Amino acid sequence: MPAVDLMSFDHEAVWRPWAVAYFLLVGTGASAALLLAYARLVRVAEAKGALIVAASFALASGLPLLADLHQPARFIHFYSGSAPASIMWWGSWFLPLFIASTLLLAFMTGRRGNAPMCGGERMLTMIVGALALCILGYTAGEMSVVAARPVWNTLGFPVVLILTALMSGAGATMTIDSLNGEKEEGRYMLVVTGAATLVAFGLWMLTDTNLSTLAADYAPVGLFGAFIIAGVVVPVVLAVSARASLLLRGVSGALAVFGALAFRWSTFNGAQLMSKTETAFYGHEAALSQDALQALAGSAGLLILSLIFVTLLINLLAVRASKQTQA
Amino acid sequence: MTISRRGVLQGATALGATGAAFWGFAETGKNFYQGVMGSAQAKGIAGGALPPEYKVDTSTGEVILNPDQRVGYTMCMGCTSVCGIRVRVDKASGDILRATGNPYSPLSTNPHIPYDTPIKEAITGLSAYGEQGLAGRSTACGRGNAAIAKQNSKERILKPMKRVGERGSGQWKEISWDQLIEETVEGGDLFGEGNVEGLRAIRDLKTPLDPENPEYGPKANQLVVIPVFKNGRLMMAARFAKMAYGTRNFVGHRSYCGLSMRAGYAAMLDNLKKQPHLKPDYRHAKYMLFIGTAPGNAGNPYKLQGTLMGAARGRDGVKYAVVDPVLTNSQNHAFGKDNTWVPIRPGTDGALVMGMIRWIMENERYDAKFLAQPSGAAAQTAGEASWSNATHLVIDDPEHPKGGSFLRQGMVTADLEEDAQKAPMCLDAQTGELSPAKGRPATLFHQGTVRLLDGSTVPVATSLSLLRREALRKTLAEYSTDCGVPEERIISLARDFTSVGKQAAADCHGGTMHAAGFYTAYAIVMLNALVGNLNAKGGTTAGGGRFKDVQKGPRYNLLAFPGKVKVKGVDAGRGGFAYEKTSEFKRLVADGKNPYPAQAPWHSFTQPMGAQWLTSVLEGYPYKAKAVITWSSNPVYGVAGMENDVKEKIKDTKRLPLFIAIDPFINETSRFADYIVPDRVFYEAWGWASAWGGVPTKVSTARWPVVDCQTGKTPDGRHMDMDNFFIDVAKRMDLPGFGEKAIPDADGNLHPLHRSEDFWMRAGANVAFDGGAVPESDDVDMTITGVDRIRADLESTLKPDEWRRVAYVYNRGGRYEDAAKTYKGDTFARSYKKGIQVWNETVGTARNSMTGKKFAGCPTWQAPSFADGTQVDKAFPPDLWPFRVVSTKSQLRSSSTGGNPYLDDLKLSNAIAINTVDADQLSIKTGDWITVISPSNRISGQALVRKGIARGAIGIEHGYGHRELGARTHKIGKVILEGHSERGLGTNSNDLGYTDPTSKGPALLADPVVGSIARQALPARIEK
Repeated sequence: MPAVDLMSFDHEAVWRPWAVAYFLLVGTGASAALLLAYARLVRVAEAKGALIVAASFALASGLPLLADLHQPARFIHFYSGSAPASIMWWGSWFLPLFIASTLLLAFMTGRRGNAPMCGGERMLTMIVGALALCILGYTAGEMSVVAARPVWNTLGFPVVLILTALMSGAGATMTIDSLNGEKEEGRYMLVVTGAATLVAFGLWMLTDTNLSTLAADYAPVGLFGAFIIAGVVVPVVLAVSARASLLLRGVSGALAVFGALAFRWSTFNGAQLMSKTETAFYGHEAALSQDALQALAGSAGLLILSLIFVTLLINLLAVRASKQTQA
Repeated sequence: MTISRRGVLQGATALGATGAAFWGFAETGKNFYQGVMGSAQAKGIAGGALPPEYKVDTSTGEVILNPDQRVGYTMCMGCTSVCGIRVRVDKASGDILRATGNPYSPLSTNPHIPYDTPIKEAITGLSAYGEQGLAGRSTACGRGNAAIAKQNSKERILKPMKRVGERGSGQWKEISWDQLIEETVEGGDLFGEGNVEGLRAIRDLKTPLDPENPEYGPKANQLVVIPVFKNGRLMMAARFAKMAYGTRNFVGHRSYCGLSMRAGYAAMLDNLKKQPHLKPDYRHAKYMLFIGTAPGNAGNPYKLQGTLMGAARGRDGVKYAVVDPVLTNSQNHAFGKDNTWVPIRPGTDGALVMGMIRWIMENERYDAKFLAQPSGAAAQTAGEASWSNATHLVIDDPEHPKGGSFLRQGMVTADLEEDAQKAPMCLDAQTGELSPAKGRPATLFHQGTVRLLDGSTVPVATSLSLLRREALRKTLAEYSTDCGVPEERIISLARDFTSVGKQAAADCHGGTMHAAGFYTAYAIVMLNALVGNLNAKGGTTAGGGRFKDVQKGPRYNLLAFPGKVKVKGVDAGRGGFAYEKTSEFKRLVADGKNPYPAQAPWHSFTQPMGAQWLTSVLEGYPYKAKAVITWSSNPVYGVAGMENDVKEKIKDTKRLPLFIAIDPFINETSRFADYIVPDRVFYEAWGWASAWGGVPTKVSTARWPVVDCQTGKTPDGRHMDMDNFFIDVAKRMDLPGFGEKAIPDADGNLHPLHRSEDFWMRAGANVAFDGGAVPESDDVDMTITGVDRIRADLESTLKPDEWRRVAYVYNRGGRYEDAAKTYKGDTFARSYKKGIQVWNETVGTARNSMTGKKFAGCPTWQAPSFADGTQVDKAFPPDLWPFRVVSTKSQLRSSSTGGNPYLDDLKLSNAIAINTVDADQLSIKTGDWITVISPSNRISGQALVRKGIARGAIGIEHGYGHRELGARTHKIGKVILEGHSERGLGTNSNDLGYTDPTSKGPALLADPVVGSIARQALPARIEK
């Protein structure tokens, strides 16, 4: 995705469409993990849908992040030195811990089958929840410190980024649940975070001229509209009004994930196409370049594989566990 | 086994997902493989990096040098900022690997390290040891990095060439050095086209070149030498052309690059000859106003400005505005509202600034205490860092013989000493009495009459009153209409500028190169006078100057030698000579005819007009040239309207019998040469340069061959280059100042000048000893920096107590005063002493050679005009010519970067930028091919539709649209030098320039006052 620089030279956007995919996946996974922790520790529910979402989205998030590094082998530099002043460096440790712990949790859940949760699993659930908070905090933090991108370098951006992640986590859980014929978790969380997103985004838009400029001139046509209407308002309305319908719950959840994607797409790419010095948008054609399509398709494919893997893992282990119990 | 529908669906989904994931991550996988197994990791550092030139142990700070590489400190010439750089060279191949910044150089490092820092410590300071490298970062810009491609370029000329076909045909043959020297000196039937006078025959210092116009000077003036800018080697060419050969026609490129800015500053700073200029104190200014210049995007020193503006954006309480038809990278959204872009109609900045001055006057926002000090002594008493002539009385009657002059004591008081007679007069602020400008404050505003000694009465006014009168000539609404900037915006700029005391600064540069350039620049820089910021911390500085090099120095006098010629006569471009002093003028007056207008404009107080030389000598007004030598200059590309005017005439050998070009490459000008002399690229050359105004401490940047020169060798083993061409021509002609006994030392002994080293190393001795000698270098440091390669030359050329000190300077790439010496209290330690000229007497008493009218001696607003005063907008009305073209500068391109493969990789072509609203009206979209038509020419290119350009402006990035520098095929003997058409992509806005229609004689459109070429605000229309 090239950004056209008018007085010097066109350059590759530093944050590629892969970053959109990564932030969507890891944000959704972390939010589902929070939902899972809340359900298991407070409400004493199994929340299997939330677990599948947390583990599979987390599992799928690593590769898009590598792809975003331009030269993916550079990831080793995160671990060859220490940079405690850098939020991104902390994130490089949170991420593998989060992925590993959610997968381990999925493994433990599957292995115990229908047996009650043991103390170790309870402890791991708490760790997963804590790491999910770290993930949400670091992802919002590492972007909002980029002073060169005024749209990110505001109070509104990290708040809306986190709120849309929470919506997406709740939404994805609702969708997975409805595919599995369940109505377990996420509806209340989606409604609350959706309403909060509307308020926060509205306040941000009213107070930050950079965002209004972005919305007016830079963001791919209609994306902000799509984000607000299809990605926030409709899923909230559906979630409130159609509590009984599996199909509508599933649609509501999927739209919430779309909302988080649309927000990231328009603010990540848009803010970078917003030349540091210019007041016009030149990236319309570039918005759906092959790069971007590859990032979307690759991440979607990987996510589906992760979902299949995690579901199979839990189900197969559960089948084995129940056989052992019967034996 | 049964296959369920669900299973099929799941399997298909998994298959599809796997396919999508593979497709999506294929590139990542490839990159990852490359990163782990491929060439990218081969060298072990990061992504394909070369092995480092040295390593520093991060625990001990120990330096381990790479034995396969060396790092030499020299000077960059990727643009005209002449930064200090360190050049990494592969010892085995001799190739340049990388170029980056010299930590000793204030042009590349902020702040630069103390000069006495040992070489190894300087290396450690750039490393990760103690994280020093982050704070002590020393950089070269992208252009400086890319410029290394010049050295090994396939397009380089390495042997002397002589044209075979007609001029400009691209047919050449290689000739020997001896043949080159013989033919250019002795002349003869060189091309089978008849006899050509050689340089020997042309050098006649006695016979007038035109007996009817003896003021034109001797025949020797018919050699015209057009060199490059002050690149550190200029003085060798000057020594040959002016001091030895004796032609007065030798000057740099200023008149087509930034003369209006320099002349505006020069008028204010009371030095029209040397044209000093000011730069803001970027480190401490609280408000900066840039008009027609974009710090960090262009301007000079470009890289340092970028660094300092970046730092300024990070400082609390700093604001700045950039007034420019084109929004540039000087603005940054991230800096919020504290930096603003003010779009303006091209060529009308003068209206904006005079509007600001009007508001400042009406609201008394000027620094009255500063302006009231009429002399240096008064300023000192008042605690001011500079003074002005704001209170000096001017004879305010253009018809009076002394109109425009200052009222001097000798005019009103009899029987005075000579000095006292010259003292300018003012009114004492306390008593109101007429008194000479001395140590007491004087009255700012006064208009009245004074009785002179002869009994007559003359009207007088203070300089500041005259400036106010000019500013009040138009209302704010009228100024706003003229420049297209709303009144409120003009007022807010003026308010901001006058709200921070002396910590405000205004600057301008190439944006003022239009047909109202002089007064525009004079007005812009006058804003500085109104807040009294000269020499003040946070205000403006004229720079710290340089250590003595090619001067009368502590060791050698490189400006004097037995037989040195003092040049005389009229400049071939009619610059710096009053039309009223010509024989032509006197004849017309004697014949009772109106002497005005002149055949073509004369500019009495400017510098020689190099930009008009080719057009003038090809037409023969004031006179023809018999030979032209260009050296690394390219006026045909760089002067607006030049190519169109001269491209046919220059081929005519009757108009110009001999044309020699000295250049490492064939450019748009040297393509027409009869001979091309090979030259060094800057990594191979000798010289001494200094910073422009932007560095407040003393700077002398060394240029020495950090790599071996690639040009062929003369029979006695020297490399062929500009230095040796001039040396050998001079020796063959027995010119003074060359050969044996050419360079006097401090004791009066004469030393030889046979080769470059003889001259430049001795200049180095001056640098090393000026203001106290530097220490001697040891052998180790010389090995680290590669100076050991020139050790034998240093030892054999210089005296025993000199050579190791000069090596010490070369080790550090020059001599640099420590940053700690920048300020003395609240003022710059190196301050500018002359007074600010609110009214410049030289300007105010000069006349327009086309109309005979006197010029205003202070800033005023005149719309872009032809030489006779006709407004360009009247001749080319906006309803027929709705656009005004401006050239814009990017960070990485200049006229000489054409064909650079690294830069071409980044951006091969430019575009024609227009505003979105204008584009909508013409149904133009980005990428459409459009044609821009000016009164003289048309160019076609692709449109770039943007909001960041003023309505009615067309912006074209400079540095594209080349016809040479690798774009065209040349044939040298049997060798074909293949041209690449992609090197010529894009457009050059100078192709739209044109000749002044009001001038009968040869003249490109220029500022009517000083003659700076108008490359901005060219009238145009667009066709799709």
